[in-house]
Amino acid sequence: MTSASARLLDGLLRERRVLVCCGSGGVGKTTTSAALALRAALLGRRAVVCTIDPARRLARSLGLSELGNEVVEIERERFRSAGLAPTGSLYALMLDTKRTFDALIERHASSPEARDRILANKFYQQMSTTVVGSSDYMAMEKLYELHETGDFDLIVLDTPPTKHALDFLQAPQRMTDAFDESMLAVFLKPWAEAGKKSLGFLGRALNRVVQRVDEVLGLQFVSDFADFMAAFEGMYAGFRERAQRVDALLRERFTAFAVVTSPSPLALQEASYFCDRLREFSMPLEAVVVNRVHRSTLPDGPLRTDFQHRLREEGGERILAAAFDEETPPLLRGLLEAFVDHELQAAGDQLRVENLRAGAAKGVPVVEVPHLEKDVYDLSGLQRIARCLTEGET
Amino acid sequence: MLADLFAKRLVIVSGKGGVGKTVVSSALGLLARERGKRVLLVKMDDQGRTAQLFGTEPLSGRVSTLRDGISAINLDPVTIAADYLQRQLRVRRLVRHVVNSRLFQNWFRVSPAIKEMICLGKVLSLVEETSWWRKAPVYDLVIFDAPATGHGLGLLKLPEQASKLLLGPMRTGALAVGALLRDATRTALLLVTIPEEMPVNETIHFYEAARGLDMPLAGVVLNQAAPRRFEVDDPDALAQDLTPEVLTQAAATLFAERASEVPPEAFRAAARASCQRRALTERYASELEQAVDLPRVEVPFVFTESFGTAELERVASHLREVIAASEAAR
Repeated sequence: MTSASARLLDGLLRERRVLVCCGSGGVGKTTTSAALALRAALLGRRAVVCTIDPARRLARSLGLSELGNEVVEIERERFRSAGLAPTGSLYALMLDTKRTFDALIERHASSPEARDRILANKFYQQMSTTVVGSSDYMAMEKLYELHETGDFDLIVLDTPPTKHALDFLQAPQRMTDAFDESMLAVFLKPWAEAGKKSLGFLGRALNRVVQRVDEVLGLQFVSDFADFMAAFEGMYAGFRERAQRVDALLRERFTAFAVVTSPSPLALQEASYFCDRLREFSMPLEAVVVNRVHRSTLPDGPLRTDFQHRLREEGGERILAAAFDEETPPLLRGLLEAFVDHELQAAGDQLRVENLRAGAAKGVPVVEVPHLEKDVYDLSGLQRIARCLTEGET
Repeated sequence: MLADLFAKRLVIVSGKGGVGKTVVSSALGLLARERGKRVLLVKMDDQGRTAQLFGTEPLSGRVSTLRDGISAINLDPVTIAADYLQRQLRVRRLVRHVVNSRLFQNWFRVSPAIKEMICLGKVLSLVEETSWWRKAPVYDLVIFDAPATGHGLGLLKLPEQASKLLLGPMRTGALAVGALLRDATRTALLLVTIPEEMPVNETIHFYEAARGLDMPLAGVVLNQAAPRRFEVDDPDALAQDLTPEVLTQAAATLFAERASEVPPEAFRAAARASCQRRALTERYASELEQAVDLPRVEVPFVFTESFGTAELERVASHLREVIAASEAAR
């Protein structure tokens, strides 16, 4: 079953042009994205992986340590020393949210003055760096930018570890909502240019309330916001149009989504949520990757199922309590404990992954990557992961 | 160090997403209750985790009871803001109009700091809430399960920044929140992490920043620590020790008459995995030891199929033992 799923995933890497990997933080999403891009390169494609916040060692092994927001080619020498000879090529990029946002402002600004006014605005500066949601939006923007260059056969996007899938799927829409021109006309513009026009009753009343809101919540934030909105005028159309194109790209036939998770209860809960949301938004969910799955060390068969059944019925503690006493030598005791620990972990992982398969991921290939003894942070490690992903090798 | 937490009014539990903050804060809540404290667990964006641990209905934006003496609330910034604005402005219909408008909601969502500041304000008011008939705080201990550290640090810096930017009642509020967060007599900050690269790096980073901000750091919990099952640390040395006799004996102990069906490799592999996992835990423990000058507590990994009330009790009883041991040592 796993190898059939792995073949399907491999097929995506051969045929598709965009692969968006989503999932919560700490599940190995960056590693998976990088391994998938590596596999595509080995298959002869020009593949780029766009990551958000890679672990330092992984970044270094990809040669990403010094550069931000620029596409870097992984040197042939690195492949050679890892014993790999890709027929395609591999590129990597570490997303810099702020710089991507600045570049977007520059592209859309109606004049250099408007650009400078926005870049210098305090609200903008905080929003573009700290606000949850802007990194989601910029990841999508970067994806579109990379796609537009036409330089790559496959773009693998490692999305920010947002808790809500919704945030990044709706990111383009939400940002344009926030800057919607019509709202400005009704609400903020008269306030920002107070006194210029006479307002209707409701407008005047709202205006007064907003001023009080301003006093109560703090003048600076709101007036910076108004100033930002005013400077933003004229950019809405461009932003909105771009957001629509990003949205269309995500729904293209050559685009696929993969949900990445680990077998921990919390991560799987979030993965199920991701799957549901992707379906709800009619996004093409084509694979689920479960990293770090512990496997029973017992051979597949009745011996294993019987023991796992016993674990469930009696619980690990009771089995161990019956298995040794004060006299038991520490080595044997440790061995029994380690074995029961491992079987409990494997049984739990397996049960939870099966639940995912039968539930939220139903009808989608689910690929398991076994728990590896060491952290993965170099090309040969990535290659090992890639083989698990695409050949079902363990 | 854990025992000292129960003498505070506010414990802030901080860490990267997925490290078990909810479990640790809930377990601390149980222990505080055992000591007779009235406890309130404050969550942001709870998503049903707390309910799962206590076997109750999901939390809402209003305080609800989890067990006798343990309450919980899931902070919802929009509700708090609406309540707050209504109290301040006293023009209900217009406030509702403003709060419900798409513009307000969007502004609120993208606006830096405002909603977090409002949540911190709420935490302060929950800490200070007093019962008029008992003339005492409603909650003896508020345990605030802070959002993931990336945002959590911003949250802790917020009152200071906000007090520079804000005017009027919000400024007074921000100053009061800032004072509470720094007040080591009332507040303690507990870091939670797990033995993995990114969470440990983030904890070290958070620690350095929080120390720079003069926050009352109380300790680090290294959660999901792999238990030590063997005396030796080196997997290869362990492999040498695992003689055919030991392996046969192990198989006989657990599998009785079916022992012959068990390949020795099954035990060898499990032993190796356990040894390596422990080595990783120790590596990260020593990284923390070097970089973070705070008392540290290990909470062992709970091997289980699903994490619920029984598993929460196990974590709590482990912490109870740790506290008892440290109190005995005094």
